[in-house]
Amino acid sequence: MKNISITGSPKTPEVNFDYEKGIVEIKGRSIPENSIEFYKPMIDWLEDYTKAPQSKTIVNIQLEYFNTSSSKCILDVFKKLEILAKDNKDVEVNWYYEEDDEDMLEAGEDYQSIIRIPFKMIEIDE
Amino acid sequence: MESYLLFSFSKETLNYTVINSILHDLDVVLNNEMFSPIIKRNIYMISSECIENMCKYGIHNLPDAPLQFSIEIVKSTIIFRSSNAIETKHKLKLETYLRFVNKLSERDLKKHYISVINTQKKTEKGGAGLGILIMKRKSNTPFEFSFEDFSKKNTIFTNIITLSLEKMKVYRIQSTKHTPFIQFDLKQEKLEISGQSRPEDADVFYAIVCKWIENHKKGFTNMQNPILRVDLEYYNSSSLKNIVRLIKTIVEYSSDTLTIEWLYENDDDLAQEEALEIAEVVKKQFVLIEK
Repeated sequence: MKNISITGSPKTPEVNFDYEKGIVEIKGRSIPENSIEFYKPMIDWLEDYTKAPQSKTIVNIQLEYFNTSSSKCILDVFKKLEILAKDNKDVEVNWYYEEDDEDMLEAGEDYQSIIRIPFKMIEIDE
Repeated sequence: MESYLLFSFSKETLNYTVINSILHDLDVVLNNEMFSPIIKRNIYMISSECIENMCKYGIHNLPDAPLQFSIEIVKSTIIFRSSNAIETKHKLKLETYLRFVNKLSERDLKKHYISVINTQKKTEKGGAGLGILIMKRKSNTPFEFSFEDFSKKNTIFTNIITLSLEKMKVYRIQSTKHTPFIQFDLKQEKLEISGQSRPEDADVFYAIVCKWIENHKKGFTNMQNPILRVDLEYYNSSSLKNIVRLIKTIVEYSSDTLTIEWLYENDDDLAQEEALEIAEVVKKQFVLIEK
């Protein structure tokens, strides 16, 4: 499986999906023009990944902000990861938020209430 | 308190390239403002949702009804105003939805948001409802919307979103070569000024800090045992009078339980003396701490 490695831009996040290491990482701002198009390769990758996953998958999400259309795509990412958890695979979700950013903490909690995977909420210094 | 226009545009049409350049300009404007990063993020998010909705649902190319957007700072609030023509046949649906969202409590809004994000099919066109929910959650105040007949087919839709700065409990400015680190954490009750202070224009630099304090008067008054820690390595004379005014303002708004810790270099008698003088001016005893 090919890894996904996308450098961040002012409108799009940095993305690292590493098959060998079982790492799924999205960092930065997510306000792409076309979220569905932007997230499609990631959803496809996860679709393949769930067929032959690592024993442990580490998910690091560190978003500064995201727009509404991204919010659904991010949910789709989590829904794929939920499949792993249902198959009794170890999935660790780390939701990073900047110190005092209660909105981003809340956004993580929103996802957690939909997805049946425990989230680790991690506060980071700016 | 001064009020001013932070940002505005009026366009006959919008597309993503234009939106990108608008948001870039907004980024630049925000970077020149002394808002805390959280306020900046909130302003940016509300603006981008609002502008995207205008682009997707507003009617373009009506010279007499352009797509208009502005951000105004009025006292301790930020006011976002958007105005665009919509098809009159969609008015009722939009109005009903906005009324519904306005009535939701914070908790119900959260519940509704989660259910929408979880069930709604995502389409490129869709998502206005979600954008409205996000804007409401960020601002936490009801939308003030109005409709005005424009032509047989079209109605002008104006929406005002208010974001209160009072909501923000932490103010932070990172230090630079010439300016100090400033953090007022009203939750932890810790206030700090540290580093160097020789800004190009000290009056402007400190006026903005004082404005934040003014806007959060109540927050200062409500603290039980606040501590203000002043740890300045160097300050120039134009900073000094501003720092004195700043401390005076904090003393004025805070309860008597306020403790001011003033740190000074080991053996620097002059600094110690100066601290005592400032204490006298602001009429508050300092706890002098030798570093």
